[in-house]
Amino acid sequence: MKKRVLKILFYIIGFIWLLITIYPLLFAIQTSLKGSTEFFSKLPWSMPSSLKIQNYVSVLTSEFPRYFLNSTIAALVSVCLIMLVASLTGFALAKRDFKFKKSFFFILLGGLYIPVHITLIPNFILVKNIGLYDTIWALIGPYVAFNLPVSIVIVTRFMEDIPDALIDSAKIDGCSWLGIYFRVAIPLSKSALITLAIYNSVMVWNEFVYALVLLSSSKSRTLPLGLWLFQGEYSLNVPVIMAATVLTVLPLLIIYAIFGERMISGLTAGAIKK
Amino acid sequence: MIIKKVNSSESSKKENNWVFEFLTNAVIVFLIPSIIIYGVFFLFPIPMSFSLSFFEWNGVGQLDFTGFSNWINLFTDATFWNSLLNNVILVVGSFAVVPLGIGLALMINSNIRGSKIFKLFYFTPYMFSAVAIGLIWSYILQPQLGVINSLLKTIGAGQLARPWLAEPNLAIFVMVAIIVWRFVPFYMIIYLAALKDIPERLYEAARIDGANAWQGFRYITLPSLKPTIKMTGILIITGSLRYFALVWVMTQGGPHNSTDLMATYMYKQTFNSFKMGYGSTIATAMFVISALSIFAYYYLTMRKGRGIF
Repeated sequence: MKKRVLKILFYIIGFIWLLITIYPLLFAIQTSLKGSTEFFSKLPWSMPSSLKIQNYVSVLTSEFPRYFLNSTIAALVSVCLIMLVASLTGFALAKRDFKFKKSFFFILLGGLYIPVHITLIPNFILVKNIGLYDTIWALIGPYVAFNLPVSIVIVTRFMEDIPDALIDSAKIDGCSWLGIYFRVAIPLSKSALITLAIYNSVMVWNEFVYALVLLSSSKSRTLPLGLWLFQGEYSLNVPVIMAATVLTVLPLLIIYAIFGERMISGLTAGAIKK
Repeated sequence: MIIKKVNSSESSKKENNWVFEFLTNAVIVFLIPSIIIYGVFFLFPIPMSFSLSFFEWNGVGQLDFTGFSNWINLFTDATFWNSLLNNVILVVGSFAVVPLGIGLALMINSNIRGSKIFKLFYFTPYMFSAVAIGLIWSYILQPQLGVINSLLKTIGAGQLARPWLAEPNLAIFVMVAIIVWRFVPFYMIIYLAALKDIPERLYEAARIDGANAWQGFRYITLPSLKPTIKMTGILIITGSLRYFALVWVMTQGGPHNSTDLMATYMYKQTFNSFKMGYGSTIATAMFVISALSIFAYYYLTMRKGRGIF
């Protein structure tokens, strides 16, 4: 009896929170299919009188595909670099002894808590001086640097579990440390590397403040920045803005629909100790 | 194997071997890429921001050394104190993710039918960019056409309708609620992982001793979650003290700085008013405040036997 009451209670809470969670996205999709006058004249939850696919067409024929491409390039380049750099360092931290190892790890962990804003101005100056301002390449350095701490923690934790016997036998076979990294550690750490790829792709795809500071012209904007400025330009045509919003979250939704659980564990891996 | 091949084919010169040996084995080779990237883009900027806080600079012209004047300005700047207060409100309000996250995690962990699907949907707000979420919520909260106010008017509670983001005393609380909404899924998953780690036999033993569901929660679940709750506390505090994105997208700190956080105020001073020196001062203050909060939190929670939990 008590158990049933609890169960019903769980369902009630569950559905209420479900509504709170997904309503904004449903609202965005619904609004994105309305005409702009319809949006102003009818109640916000009224169904679109006809599906205005035109809204999506106007987004796709604007500068938007360009932002899409920029975000993809920034994500691809940063994520590959993060995977390489983090796994190299993670390997050394997990399997080798060296002086200052503890302090090295400590300084790295500090990066999890430091407000990025203290780095904004110096990086802005640096990027201006090396002539990368307003190009997507300006984002790569900060993106790699800021995601390194979490990524190194994830990969170190994983590589600690590689059996030492495997490494010792590779050493006896005359393998160098770099050889062990490439032939033993990397092949055994595929799952950690996939986690890094998921986590960092989403982080970079959604990053906003650095894009805001380091980019300006429309040819170099990433999706979040592009969407935000797009809103300024189309402020009166809300359905078109919502269409643009839906398009920016669509790639994530598609990947999420395929990988689901894997993506959840990837995005929370840094905070969960195994 | 690599070494042998190189040894036989390349050369027998000793120096060459030494270089190769170094490049393939030295620890520093593994560390140097992160040292460079992390150092240049993350560590070096910290002392640099601190130094810049003693200058006045518009970003292009000459740097003017002004001593402590930026710092004195900061201490007498009511807008800065107000933004710090907003950060404190955000820190306190954000602790709502603890009960909400634990509640949802308990629900999912009870394995009722459909709990996996609930979990998948619940997680979505954490995945989308702050810009997308911020835009959607601004239209939901819009005073004339927004969903909330239209709903209130339709059910005859029109007197409750508000310009949610335009009322100075209200806007910051609305922002806190939306930030909590966005981050609950993240904490939910962390607590869920911790719940899954509690051995089932503990509950069985409690049941045999006649404990009810509430007692099981109070005396087994909650104590087992304690370390996780402590750990998430630090994430909540540091995350809230540096928060920027949703507030910038939805209100840009307005109206009249009433929703400004330290981060949005720093951004405006630096990149809208071109006060690089003063911006650096605010950024350095953020850094110091975050560091002090972490130490205070550790002191309060980790002291032997005297923790606040």
